[in-house]
Amino acid sequence: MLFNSYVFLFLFLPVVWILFRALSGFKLARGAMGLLAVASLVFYSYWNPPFVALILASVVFNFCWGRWLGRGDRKPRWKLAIGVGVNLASIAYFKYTGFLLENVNALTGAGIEIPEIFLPLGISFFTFQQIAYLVDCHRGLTKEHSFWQYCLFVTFFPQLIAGPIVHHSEMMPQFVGDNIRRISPRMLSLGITLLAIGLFKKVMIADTLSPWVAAVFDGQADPQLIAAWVGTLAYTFQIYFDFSGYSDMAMGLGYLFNVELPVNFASPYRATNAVEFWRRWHMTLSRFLRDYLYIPLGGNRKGPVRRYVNLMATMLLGGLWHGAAWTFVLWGGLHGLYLCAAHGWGKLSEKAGFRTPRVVGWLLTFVGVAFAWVFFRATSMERAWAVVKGMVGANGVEDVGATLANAENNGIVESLPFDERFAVLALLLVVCLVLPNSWTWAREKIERMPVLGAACAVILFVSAVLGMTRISEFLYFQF
Amino acid sequence: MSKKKKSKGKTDTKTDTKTEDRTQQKAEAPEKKRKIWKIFLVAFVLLLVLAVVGLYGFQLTVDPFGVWGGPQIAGFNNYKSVQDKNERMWKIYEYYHLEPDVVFFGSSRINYCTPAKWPGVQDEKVFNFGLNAAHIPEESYYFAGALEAHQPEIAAVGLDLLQFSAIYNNPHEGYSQERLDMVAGSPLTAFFYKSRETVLSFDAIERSFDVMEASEERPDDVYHIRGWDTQRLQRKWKTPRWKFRQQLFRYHTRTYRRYRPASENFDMFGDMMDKAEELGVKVVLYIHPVHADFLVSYDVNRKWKLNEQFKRALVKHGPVWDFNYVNDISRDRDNYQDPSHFLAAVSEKFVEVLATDEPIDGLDFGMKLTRDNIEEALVEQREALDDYMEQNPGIRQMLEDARRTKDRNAFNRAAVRLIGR
Repeated sequence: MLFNSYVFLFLFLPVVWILFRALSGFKLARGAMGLLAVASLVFYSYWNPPFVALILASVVFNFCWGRWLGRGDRKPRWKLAIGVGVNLASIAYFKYTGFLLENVNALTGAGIEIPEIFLPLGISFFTFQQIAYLVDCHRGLTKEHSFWQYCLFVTFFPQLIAGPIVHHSEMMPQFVGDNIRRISPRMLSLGITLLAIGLFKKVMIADTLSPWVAAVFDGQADPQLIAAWVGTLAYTFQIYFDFSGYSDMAMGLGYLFNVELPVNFASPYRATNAVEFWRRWHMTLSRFLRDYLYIPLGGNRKGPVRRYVNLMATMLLGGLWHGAAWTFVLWGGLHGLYLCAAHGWGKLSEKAGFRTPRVVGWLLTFVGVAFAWVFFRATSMERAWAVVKGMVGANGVEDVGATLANAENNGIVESLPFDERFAVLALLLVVCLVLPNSWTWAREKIERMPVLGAACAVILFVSAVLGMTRISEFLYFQF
Repeated sequence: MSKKKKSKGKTDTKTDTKTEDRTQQKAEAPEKKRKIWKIFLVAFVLLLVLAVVGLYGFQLTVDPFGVWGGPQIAGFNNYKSVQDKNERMWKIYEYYHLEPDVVFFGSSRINYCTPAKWPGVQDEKVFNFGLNAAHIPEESYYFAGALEAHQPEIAAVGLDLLQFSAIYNNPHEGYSQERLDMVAGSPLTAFFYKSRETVLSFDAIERSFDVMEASEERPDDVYHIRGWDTQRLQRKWKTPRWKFRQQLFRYHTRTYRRYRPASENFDMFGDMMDKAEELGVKVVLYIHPVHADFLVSYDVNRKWKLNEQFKRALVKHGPVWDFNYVNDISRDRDNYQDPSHFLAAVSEKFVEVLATDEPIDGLDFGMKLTRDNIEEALVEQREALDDYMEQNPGIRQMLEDARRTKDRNAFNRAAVRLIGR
């Protein structure tokens, strides 16, 4: 079930919310919590019912293993290794088997048949959350909690399939009696506003950009200079508005149930270097990678060379986490390089007493990030290469004048490829750079002007709902 | 000293008052904020209700697809021009809304050649469910979906040879199984899905403005009457016979030439008949009359035998009224807009035959095919075709040449001479 679907917005969410409020109104906090856990499993099963067994098995295993790990003063590392290993094996099987066999076949020519394995939705998210939980159990950083609390921490539907990647220490304390019980107008208002903003970002912006992106990345022809840049920039904004929109919705839904989820995006395209970018983009993933990969690898404690190696390793694995393909690894590798360069340049300029102008830093970061998205979006290395070639003009440059003239002569508005699109992309850039974050807007601005805030929320919500259904017409050419 | 004390005392009092104020402010602050959030919530609910009521009010008044049953106001919403390209969406809703007793199912020969009328039945209870270019797979989905949603007394299924072609199997743009399921599901799911597509969508709102604009231009016209497209047959072509010639060449050199039947389509047709039987709906089967020149094209393209097999396959499911042979109607080009689309007057005739289950006296139009008489009827139809070709040797020659050369110009020259400009 997607947040931007009718069944979720007009059936699942209202029903669950009313039942939740009814139970918490009767001071049945545990019942309300149980309801949320069951509702989350229903939400998950809507996509593919059999995979509920997988997520439940994963929850039960990690809960029991975590408790066992946390017992006693001696905490042998092998226990942790087994726990983490089981989680990694599960994600490796579902997500990386095909990729691994493809590469074995390519290297050895073994011709092993690649099995068709369905990827369970959100497996990367719930596996990472539980690995972090096991590690913290081993470190003695977890507290006693019930199975339902744990189950809800993993399956809580607002964050189940696309994050934010939540940490047990920030979630579990929220699943207690008083917190669940009270009705807070502030929480409700924040929830509604963030849900409306997120829905608008996803439906009205990201989904509108989608065909522009597909035309370049899924098309057959090699894109020329302007088309390649339009496609790449469109994707740069599409993925931001899509993902941050989804995160906003997740936060908003959390608020509706009195649960505060962590902020995941903080205007990433305002970043003036790669380090700052990763502090603003998918912040909960950055936090996870830092705490459970980069720092355990040694972080910056073992000298500058090792720091760069750790950065690269972290980002390469981070890339692979996003998807089982070399394009994702390359994307991670590029960001690893950007981070190394940012750190190295920072040191150098500090020594030289030189300060990079912010505009230059921003431009380099923005273009670098946009360039890396090419590999993230492309369905193959060949396609990514075709787009990159287009971006540098190796596939030729469009004759814009002729295209415009032709379009004008024929009255074909659709064949005007760039003028309107550039205007839209420029506007989106301004939005990313100037407007406040959704959560800043929701928390601060609305407090000052509630009626206007409510009007904005209604406009955004209604627009998004109206944009969810597109009518496809059939042009009759006869049999 | 005392002054000092006094002044200190004053300062103390001031400080105390300030502290008290601050404490009071602090205590009031959350309450004030709480009030602000409450204002937000009340405003949100009120504005949302207002927006939804406004939207429904506007969309139901204009009703661009004609599915809510509201009044048609001349110059405002009478001419629902947007129905044309969206029939796969709105027809199921209007059908469900009207709950007709008689329904025509079929392709464009239904959609714009067959007015929704049936002798002995109130016009308001007859519906035209024709969908342009609907082949059997798609028609079977709509047929099942419609019958699940509402069971009419009679389903008149108009068939064409091409509907069974292996070339056509994917539903066309605008088809949605989810929509059919929702309409068939319950009144509530039907209402929600209809709302979603015809009210709660920017596209639908845009269509409302299109309809308002078109209605302003044509205040005296309507586009569809109970599913029947009234506009197509009124279209003016370059010359009276231009469309006829153009379609004859196109169908002859491409569509019929490539025709081969798909056995799956016959199976799906069987499923349609089973569904009707299961739901207690009487089915009247018939084959639409194409112009005799098309029948010559069947023969020239070596498809006559397939045409016969098609008819044999149909009669396995019950009697079929066959109007598709050389007869009094199909010989006359004046009965046609193009070789495959006849005028409404023709459909009125065959509907009379279908309703009475009797041929019209003094008019050779329609043979009731059954398992018992099929072979005899096919022989008769073959003889009628041979007679026609004998009387029109130029037509056969022109089609033979076109098949061989695919030369459109040569065909046109001959067609202008034989068929008319």
